[in-house]
Amino acid sequence: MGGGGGLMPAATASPVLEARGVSKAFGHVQALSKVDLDLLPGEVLGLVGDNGAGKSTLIKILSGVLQPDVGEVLIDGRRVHMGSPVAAQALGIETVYQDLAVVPMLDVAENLFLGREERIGGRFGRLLPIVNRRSMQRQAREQLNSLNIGLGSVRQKVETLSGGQRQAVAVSRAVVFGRHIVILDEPTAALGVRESKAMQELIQAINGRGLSVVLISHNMPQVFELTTRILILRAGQRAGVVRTAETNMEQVVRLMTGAEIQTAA
Amino acid sequence: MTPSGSASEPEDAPLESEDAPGREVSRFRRVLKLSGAGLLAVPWIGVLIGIVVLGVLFNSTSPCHCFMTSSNLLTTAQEFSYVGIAALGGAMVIMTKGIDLSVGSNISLSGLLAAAVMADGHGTALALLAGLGVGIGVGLVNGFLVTVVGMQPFIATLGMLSVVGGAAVAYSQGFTLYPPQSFDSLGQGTILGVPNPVVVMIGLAIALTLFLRYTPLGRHIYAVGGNEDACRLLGIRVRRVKMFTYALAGLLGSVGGILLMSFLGSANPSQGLGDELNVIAAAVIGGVSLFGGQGTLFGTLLGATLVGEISDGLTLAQVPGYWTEMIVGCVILTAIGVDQLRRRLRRG
Ligand SMILES: Nc1ncnc2c1ncn2[C@@H]1O[C@H](COP(=O)(O)OP(=O)(O)O)[C@@H](O)[C@H]1O
Ligand SMILES: [Mg+2]
Repeated sequence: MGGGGGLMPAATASPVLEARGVSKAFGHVQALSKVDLDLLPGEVLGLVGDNGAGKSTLIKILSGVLQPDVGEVLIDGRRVHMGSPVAAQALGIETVYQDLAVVPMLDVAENLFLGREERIGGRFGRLLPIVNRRSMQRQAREQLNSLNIGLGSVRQKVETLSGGQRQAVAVSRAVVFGRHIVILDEPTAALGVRESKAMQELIQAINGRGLSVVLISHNMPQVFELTTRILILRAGQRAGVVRTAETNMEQVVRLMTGAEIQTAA
Repeated sequence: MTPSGSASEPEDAPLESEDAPGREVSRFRRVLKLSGAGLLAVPWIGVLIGIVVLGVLFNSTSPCHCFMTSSNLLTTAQEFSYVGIAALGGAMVIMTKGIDLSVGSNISLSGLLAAAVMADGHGTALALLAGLGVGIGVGLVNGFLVTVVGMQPFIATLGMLSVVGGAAVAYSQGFTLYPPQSFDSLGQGTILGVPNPVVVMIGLAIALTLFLRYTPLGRHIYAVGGNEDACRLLGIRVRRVKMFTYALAGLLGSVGGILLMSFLGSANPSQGLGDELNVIAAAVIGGVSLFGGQGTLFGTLLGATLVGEISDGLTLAQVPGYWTEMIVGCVILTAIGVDQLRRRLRRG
């Protein structure tokens, strides 16, 4: 698949997720200043920038982990306040954070449903909250199959899995519950070549389901293979946004390092 | 395999050779894992073997050769059951990566308070309420210090160990208190030949094991210990989970304290002195990792059994008490060392 993966958004479509003039400081460090971002329906938006450029801070704001000092976040054109990750999840935004967000000692199915466990119904279930393992395991199996993820048993502990498999569990959790938007913060940073390749296929599968994706990655070939557009951050500022099909790696790197300045968006 | 679009992907030669040095190390680790570490992976099997071996050993070293008689075994079980009950709570705190050092003083104070209420002529119900209430109270303060104030669990509960221990001495003025004779039956009675405290211990262990396995809160106890950050991001109320374990540990500590008081027929402010170490020993020996997220209550009871067996067996063999203390100390250190080793192997 060449430049621009998945469904090409219509040029006129309005963004599903928007950040407007978002700033965030940690003490004296201005991690973000007046950054705009727009994510179009069905697209994969790349988010690139040097270490410390503010990528993680931006997506933490978009996923409710951090609140911006100034600026606003809009979903489907409506201004939202996301005071917590749970609030963002309720709005259909699922995020896979940079550090693996799995619990090694729980099994695959439990990890998929962590914090959203299904409970058994009936009279007994009303009396005592009991997790419905069977149902969660069955759904986990179905979901992983449909995403083409073969992990063996959904009842094996995540600590027995490889780094790539763990990451796949974290990503599929986002896919299963993300109704709208999935944000991935360097999903392949810790993976080997082959596992990265597999993760790439998984991201394409996500996009194929019609979900919009924000992808942070340092891996330029991967960004070019997967994304529709690329947003470049430099030192907490938006250094530009480019259509993947109309640019090349050299230009993106020049924007990242400040060797080229984009004038109009 | 990881997400795989094509299962029949050909082997990638250059990738293979790149990986070679890493492969060697992991093969070495795997051999390690399979050999010595089989026992480490399933901690309770080793403990069970230890319990049996020590039983045989103590039977031959005791002058009466009476260690392995059912009456002595039941007495031993009765003597450690209050530690076992407290250890069920202590283990759940450790599972969340916390620790409760205050439990020794809690055992003393709750027994004292219950005995005092009865000695003052109030009913048994009020006495139990007071004893259990103070236990939950201590647990809630522990939980508050850890989750709201943000203190290190070790420091917070060490402080509470002193505070509560001091309160016990102050309250009793250093005297021993006696509950009414009739209250002894709680700790000394039996059900089908099994001492009541042992029945309580096993009953609680079963109920709490089901709780840990089958309720959302129970699963979250493991999850919080395993990856607290992930839990927070997924909307699990981490503070509430921790608070719950501290309160429950406080409650179970006081259950143990009251049963001990009833069994002994008396309460003094140093009754639970040093038991916090026995509780932690039981949990860690039984495979509850100090690094959080791991272990079972079944293992914890086996750990408590081993600790109880050692102190009882050494007493029967007429080994002086200070030796017992040293030996139990060495067993604890060994268990913690094994815990560390196990973690290293798991990460490898
Ligand atoms: N919690 C924090 N406290 C203090 N400084 C932070 C914090 N998070 C990020 N920063 C700082 O903000 C800047 C942007 O960081 P980050 O968003 O993590 O960048 P990136 O993900 O692009 O590497 C860096 O200078 C970083 O040190
Ligand atoms: Mg980052």
